[in-house]
Amino acid sequence: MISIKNILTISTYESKVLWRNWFFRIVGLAGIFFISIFNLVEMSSLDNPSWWAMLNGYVLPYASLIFISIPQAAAVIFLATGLIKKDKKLDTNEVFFVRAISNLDYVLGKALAMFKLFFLLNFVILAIPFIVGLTNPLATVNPMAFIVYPLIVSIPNIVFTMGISFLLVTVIRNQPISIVLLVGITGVQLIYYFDKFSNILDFTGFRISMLASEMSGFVDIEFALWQRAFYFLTGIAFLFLTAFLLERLSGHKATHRATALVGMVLLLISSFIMVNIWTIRQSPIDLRQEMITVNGRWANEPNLSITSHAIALEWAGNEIISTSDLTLKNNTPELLDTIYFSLNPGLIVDTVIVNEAPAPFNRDLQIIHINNGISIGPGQEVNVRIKYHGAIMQAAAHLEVDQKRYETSNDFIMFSLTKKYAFLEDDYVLLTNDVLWYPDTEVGYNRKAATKERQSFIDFELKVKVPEGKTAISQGAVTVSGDVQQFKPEYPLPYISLVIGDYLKKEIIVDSVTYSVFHYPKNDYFLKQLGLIADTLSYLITDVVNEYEDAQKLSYPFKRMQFVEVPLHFTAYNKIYESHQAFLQPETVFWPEEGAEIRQFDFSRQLRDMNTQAKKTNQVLTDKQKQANVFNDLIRKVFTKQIGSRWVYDGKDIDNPDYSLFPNYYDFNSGIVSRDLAILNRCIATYLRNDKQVQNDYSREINGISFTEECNNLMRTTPLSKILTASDFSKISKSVALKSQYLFSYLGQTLGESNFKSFLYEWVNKHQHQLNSYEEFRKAMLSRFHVDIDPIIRTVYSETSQPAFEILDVQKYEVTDGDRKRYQVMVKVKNSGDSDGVLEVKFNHKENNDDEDTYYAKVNEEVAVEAPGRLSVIKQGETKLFGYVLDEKPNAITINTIISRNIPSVINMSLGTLSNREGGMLFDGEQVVDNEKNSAQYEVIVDNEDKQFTHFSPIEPTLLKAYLDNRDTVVKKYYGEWNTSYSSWLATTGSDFYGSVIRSAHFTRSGGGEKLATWTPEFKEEGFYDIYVYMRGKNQNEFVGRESASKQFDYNYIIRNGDGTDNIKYNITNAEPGWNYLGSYYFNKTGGSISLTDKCELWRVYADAVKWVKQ
Amino acid sequence: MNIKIKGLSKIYPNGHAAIKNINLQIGSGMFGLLGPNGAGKSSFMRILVTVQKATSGTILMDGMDINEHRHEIRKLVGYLPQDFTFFSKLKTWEFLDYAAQLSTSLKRKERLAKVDKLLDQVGLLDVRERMANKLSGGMKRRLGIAQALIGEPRLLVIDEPTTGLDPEERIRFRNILSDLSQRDVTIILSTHIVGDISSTCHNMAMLNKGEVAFKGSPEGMIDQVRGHVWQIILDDSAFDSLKAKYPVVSTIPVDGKWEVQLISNDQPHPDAKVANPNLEHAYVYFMENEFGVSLV
Repeated sequence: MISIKNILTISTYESKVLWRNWFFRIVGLAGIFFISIFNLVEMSSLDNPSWWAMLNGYVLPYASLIFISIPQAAAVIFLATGLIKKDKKLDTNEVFFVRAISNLDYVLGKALAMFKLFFLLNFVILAIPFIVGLTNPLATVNPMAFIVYPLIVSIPNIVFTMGISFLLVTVIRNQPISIVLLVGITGVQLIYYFDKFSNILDFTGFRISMLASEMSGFVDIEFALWQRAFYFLTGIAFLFLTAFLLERLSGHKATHRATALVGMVLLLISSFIMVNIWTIRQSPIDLRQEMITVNGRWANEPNLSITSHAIALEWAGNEIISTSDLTLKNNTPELLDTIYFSLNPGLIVDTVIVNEAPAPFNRDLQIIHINNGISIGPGQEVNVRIKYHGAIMQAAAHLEVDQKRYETSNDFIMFSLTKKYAFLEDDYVLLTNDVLWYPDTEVGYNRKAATKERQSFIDFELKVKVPEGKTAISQGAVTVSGDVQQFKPEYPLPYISLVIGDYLKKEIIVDSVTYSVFHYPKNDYFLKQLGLIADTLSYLITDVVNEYEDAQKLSYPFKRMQFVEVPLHFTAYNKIYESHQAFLQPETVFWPEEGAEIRQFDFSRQLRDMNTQAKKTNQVLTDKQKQANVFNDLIRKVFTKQIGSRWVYDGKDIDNPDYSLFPNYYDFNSGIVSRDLAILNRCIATYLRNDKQVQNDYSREINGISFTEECNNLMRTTPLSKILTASDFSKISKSVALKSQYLFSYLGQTLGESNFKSFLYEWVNKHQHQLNSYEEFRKAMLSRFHVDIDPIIRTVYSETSQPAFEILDVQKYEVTDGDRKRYQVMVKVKNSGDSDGVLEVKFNHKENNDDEDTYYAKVNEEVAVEAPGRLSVIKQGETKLFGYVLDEKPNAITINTIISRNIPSVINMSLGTLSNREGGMLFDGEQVVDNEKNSAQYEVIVDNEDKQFTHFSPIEPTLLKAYLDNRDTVVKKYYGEWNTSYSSWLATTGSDFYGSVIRSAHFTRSGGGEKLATWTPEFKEEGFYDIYVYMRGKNQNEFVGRESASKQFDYNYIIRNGDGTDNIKYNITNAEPGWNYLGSYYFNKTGGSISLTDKCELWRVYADAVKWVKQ
Repeated sequence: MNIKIKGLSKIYPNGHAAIKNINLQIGSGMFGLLGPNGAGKSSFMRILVTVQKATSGTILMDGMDINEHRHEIRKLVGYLPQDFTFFSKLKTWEFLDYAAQLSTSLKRKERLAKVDKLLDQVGLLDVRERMANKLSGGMKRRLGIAQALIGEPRLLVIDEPTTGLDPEERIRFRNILSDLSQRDVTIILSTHIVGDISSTCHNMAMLNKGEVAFKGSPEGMIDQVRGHVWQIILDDSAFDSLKAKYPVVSTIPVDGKWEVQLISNDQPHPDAKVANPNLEHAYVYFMENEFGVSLV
């Protein structure tokens, strides 16, 4: 049936033909060129290579192959359809058809020809990272990667693409149509199904997770291997079916039938593989749902609390064998007849002994319950020993994470990594409480009841039996005897973690805290690159700790801080009821393998940036100083968060890793817990955590309103309790943050800001290493402030009504106060909403400029200590005048309304030019004033939000734009300025637009003057009016480039007045933020109008508000 | 090789009957298949070489049914199709070696020697390194015959080999075929050029509209037309009137008049003399009969 000789002959000559094909040559050369450039730029020592490209020997060979996987698939489609098509012109084919070869020989020979060439191309491509890697001493070259990736990335891709191309062109008998169909299939897979269904459809292998860790090797590769096997086998099956359907008479009928049969059998096998793949994907999803249901069944069952827990664990490859000795206490007021534990469903319970007697138990997935002969009175203690063994099912972790989030890709450079929540491998272990690796009496996430937080910390003890040479890392002091490492934490803890691997340890003791870094032997690059700071490390640490503890006003409560390197694939999520991710464990922070792609770990690039920065500012820094700066930058940006990020797209990337050390200061040390106000402790943590905020959020520029405002809108219609159970996590997280900010600001204002804060810090410092009940805290507050905080807290959590702030007036003066210049700003604000509200007011003294410094972060930049904002409560319906006396000239004022109807919720107004005032009273404080506006003059304002504002555009959107707009199912009122429309005027929001509660304007892309925005006032009185237009400031705040500083820009207005129509050009180059005088005209009572055209040399034109003031 | 063809028909899906009920027996030596374009020659030959299937009828080659023993028959066949012009990017020798590898089991060295020998035979050794698609029309045909011969076939099927060749190339090609016919090989040569048959074939058949109009030797075919070919010298007006009545085979201008050869069962003109017929006359005679023109 198959003649190897024939196949080889055909493949030899057909590959010669393909090799001479110009298309193949161009594709091949382009691929080699592109990959060479990529490798040279990213990894060679010619340039300053990226650390992410060098840290892991798998990265570049894998990246090089997947970069070409899609163009390669396209090239295979083009060539394969040409190779097998039966062209009438090519009668030379027929002289081969009459040879004594089978159809299968013919198809397989052609397939092999093509495969050989493309596979060869892949090897050439792979040679590039190999050579470049070898020439760079810092780069890791892992020979394994060069063997494995061609096998699992390229072969299935080539075989499948070729198989489907051969088959399709054989069936359709038309090459162009086949190509269109196949390219279409590839496109649909890439665009519509990108990262969907766990990348099962990713036949090119572009995204399916196959990156190995240098620490733990290939993890959970089974899924990817099955997926690749599926495409490989299906491709082969298609080749057999092509041979069956080939338009050539078969040599033997039996052979012909056998070819079809083999094709069908292969297809059947690949179908089974697909079923298997689907099961691998689906079973954790199902398990999670079942676990959530089980949790729901137990959520309201009272249980004992753990007071102490001693675990003896033996690591046996993919399993653990453990014994837990627990002391449990009944902290409930009831007599309990059932004890239950949560334990990973992969762990098998061997025995349960209650008070020395074996106890029968039942198992309900993760819940083990004992109710035979149990009777434990309030306050009574019981000892329980549980023996269990088995593997860890990772799916048990993070049940609160919904499927969409659970399946979101875990991006690392261009790869999507397998998400690992625990490791229990032959050579590596990483276990956190999220996977329930030891029994706990708390119940995890469910939909029936709010998650109940732990009410007390636990005295842990852990004995681990590990093979020789491996290091175990957990909490507490460690003693080693033989192959047993014993950990005894000095303090009770909420939970412990366990890591075992080939770690090396570097440690330093500073101010009686032991700081240690655990890293893998090869991953000691930080020693080489930051070697000079070794002798000053203790001083650096002291400085960083002092800075941090000053900011947090809390001191480090543990004896050690461990920085443990963990494999790339380890993944964590933000949580609803806890303010930290699994990267943070008591006394411990898990940092990603060699820093992964965190810029601050790319020391060589950081040092380069440091040099550039020093040159720019004419600084002379020693190498040691540079290294110290790089070290500080890493700690302050990644771990202490004392340098905020520059940019964030709020509401997106909600699960970006967070390595902030703050949980060690609060969450693992203290807490105020309540069974029914589960969110309270998280709110307190959010309030206390003084990390530097991200400086710029661009969600408004994309969506039209900011993410905060989206959440405010949500909280106006939905109570927090419902948001917690039914919203996207991003909204849950933001809403909780806003509520806590509001709650504590409100409490601060009610109780006295500084008194309240110092009480809170005192409380934490007094109640170290323990959890306290909310009731105790409430009582303490009552006795200190004589205020019961409970109704306030409950109102804040449950209310949906919101304040709305109208900024009625802003007065700003430069006041000469004796021989000193001072600045007086007065702001009049009315709360016209339906609840009390809190305002926070801050001033910015820096000149706003479009310097690149605004956009790019610097290494270890000095962050100016920001003066705390002034908070004030404005009761519903009240109008308040706020006075601020400043020593430094304010450039802008920021009014944060926290939770309100305001859009923007944070109003940032440029103050523009300050008028001079000689002497006079300076007012610093706040007072309630009457809210009447006392304007003597008759004026009419038409804002773009008003009915009297209309806009017109004769321009039709392009087909593409219309299609994209149609895809947007949500009806939007506001649009981000980054989606500037050419065909229409759209509304957007922003601080520097006119409006009372909602500050918005319409905008469009500049055009030829066809698009018009028109304000049509309704006058009560006719006469001469001064016309003012509302502007954002110079050039409408648009960056016009350094070169064009002297360029002038105009807006074009058409003024229809009592005397006719006037077209005027209005120079906006030096416009002031706020009202700008346009001109004076006579208007009849019947009206008139002002139109703004879209003609302008700036990119966008804004239409906001127009004011007519009667002379 | 002994080929027995019985009741062979080919009807295409569009209803066109390319060949109808052909019965032939072909032995060793050169067999000519004559017929106009569209007579069904190519369909017939493609069926013979197993490229396509007949609608009905049987072909036995040395007793083997072509439908049952396609694989075995392919081992015995060499085929040069009608349009042998478009090559994939292979050099002349590579193309021949590709064919050689698929049809022989010779070792590399012997195979390459054979390739070169054959190239020499067909006069292509000088251009062995040239890309096959850069060869001239005649060279391509010769390469075609070489690839058909490389497996030492017992049946060689050659479809319209001389179409489009210049006279020199045509003679050269005929000579190659004549040499071949000396061996124990059955060569089936289809053509619509009478000269190809007359100079090479001892046996032939004539196909017209898918049917066998004649089978036998070329001489036999000529014999059939003996007495029906007339030669006559005519002036313009007489020529015009006869031209309308009889199929004219040749016209040569002679001293302001025309020397005309035409086909007729009876003497077409008092001055007409019986001429010695050749295969071309016979071809026209059979064709005209088929077309139903009455030969007066």
